[in-house]
Amino acid sequence: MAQDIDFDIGGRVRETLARVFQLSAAEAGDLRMGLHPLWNSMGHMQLIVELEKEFGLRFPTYEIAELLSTEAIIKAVERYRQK
Amino acid sequence: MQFLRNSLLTIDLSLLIAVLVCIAASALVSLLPMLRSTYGLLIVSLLATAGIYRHGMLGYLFINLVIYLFVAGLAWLPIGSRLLQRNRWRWCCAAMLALLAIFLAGRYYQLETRGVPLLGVKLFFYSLNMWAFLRLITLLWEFGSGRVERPSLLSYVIWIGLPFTLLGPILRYSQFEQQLPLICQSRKTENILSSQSTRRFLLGMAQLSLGLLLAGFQASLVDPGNGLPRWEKLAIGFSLAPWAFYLLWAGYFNFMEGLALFWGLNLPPSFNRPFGRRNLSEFWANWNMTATSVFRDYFFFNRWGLAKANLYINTLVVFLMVGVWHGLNGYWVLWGLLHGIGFCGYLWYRANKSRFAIWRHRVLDAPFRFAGPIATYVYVCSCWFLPPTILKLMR
Repeated sequence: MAQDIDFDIGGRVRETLARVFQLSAAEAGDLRMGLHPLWNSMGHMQLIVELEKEFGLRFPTYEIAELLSTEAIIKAVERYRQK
Repeated sequence: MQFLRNSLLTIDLSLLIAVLVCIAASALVSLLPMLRSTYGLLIVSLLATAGIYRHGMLGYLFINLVIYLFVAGLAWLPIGSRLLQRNRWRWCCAAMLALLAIFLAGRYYQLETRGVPLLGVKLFFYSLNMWAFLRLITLLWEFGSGRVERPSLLSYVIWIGLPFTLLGPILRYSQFEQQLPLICQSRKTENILSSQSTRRFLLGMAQLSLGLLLAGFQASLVDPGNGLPRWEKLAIGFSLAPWAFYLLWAGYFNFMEGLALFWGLNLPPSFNRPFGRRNLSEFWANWNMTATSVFRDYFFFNRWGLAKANLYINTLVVFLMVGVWHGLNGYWVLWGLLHGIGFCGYLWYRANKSRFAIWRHRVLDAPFRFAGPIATYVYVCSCWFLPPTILKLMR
């Protein structure tokens, strides 16, 4: 069970998004930068910091501009956790 | 009709040539289906580059070829492992810095005007304008990050010679690469009859014409012969000049978007009603978007090796870079600094918004809706007008 929770990357990404942008987890399900007023360039950097804290990883500089949707973030977190 | 004469005088010749070349390129590919192939597009792109760059064509092709050879050379290194990927990224970062140094040196020493006499002909081996520089930076970034693989020489030459982007906007290689097969497949009638391309084309034409008229009108009003007081000139400058400038460039980019659509090529939008936005962040999110998004993605979304990004430093770096990108002189450096300081002020306000909450709700709630757009407009205009005065005071 603990393992399931630990590897529920999608759920944790949505929770982080919801926390940073003050949304419900359902609202954070399919979000894109620019669709929510708080997810602008400043909010994006705040989100990156929170995601890195949450997953204990560090995104490379070139990846930061690619993490523009919930889906893209989940895929990137999965990729960097495997490395 | 003095202002009509002034409108014609404000037309930039190189921009006019670019518009005519792009109309010809769009019409050729739309009307001659045989050109709707990679080789056809290559010929049209090279001809358009020659038409727009003229004597600078050799230098333009030379610099682009050097970057291509660098990318092709790096592509020999496989990126299967994380270490090799990191090395590719580091090499590309070094190349971006080198390109920046070359770009700045070119501006400082005005290398574009320095030809080398060879067999009685003056050859120009350097030509790197602001758009070409930014375009190549996007390629190095995308290649270094692994977002795109080594481009084929054919598609690369079409990309660097795309008439609709030679003087802006920016179309990143990843955006172009996925559209190239679609351009070759699309039928001419689909594009000619597309209401979207016609609408964009007409909108661009209308904005360009209105921008020219406004610029001419403003020039005739502030004519030294009119003897207007300084404050009246300032008021005209604040009310007309920004709109003329905006309409000219938004018109040009919309025009290019419309012409590109006749090829079946989608250029990303450049302007989205930037005036009237509530703050500087919103203004910049809607002004010259293809270029500002590059600066945002590469300089603002950056930690410069630190554990946590400092958004204030990033903001100043972004706007200084945008300033220098426009011109390596005191005016543009100051312009960038002023925007950077203004944006940092907005960031600070945003971070401390809760402190202002009561004060804002009690005093400024209703007027704030208007105060934001007005303050933003005045600040943006001041950044255009203040640098010469500040420079004069500094001397």
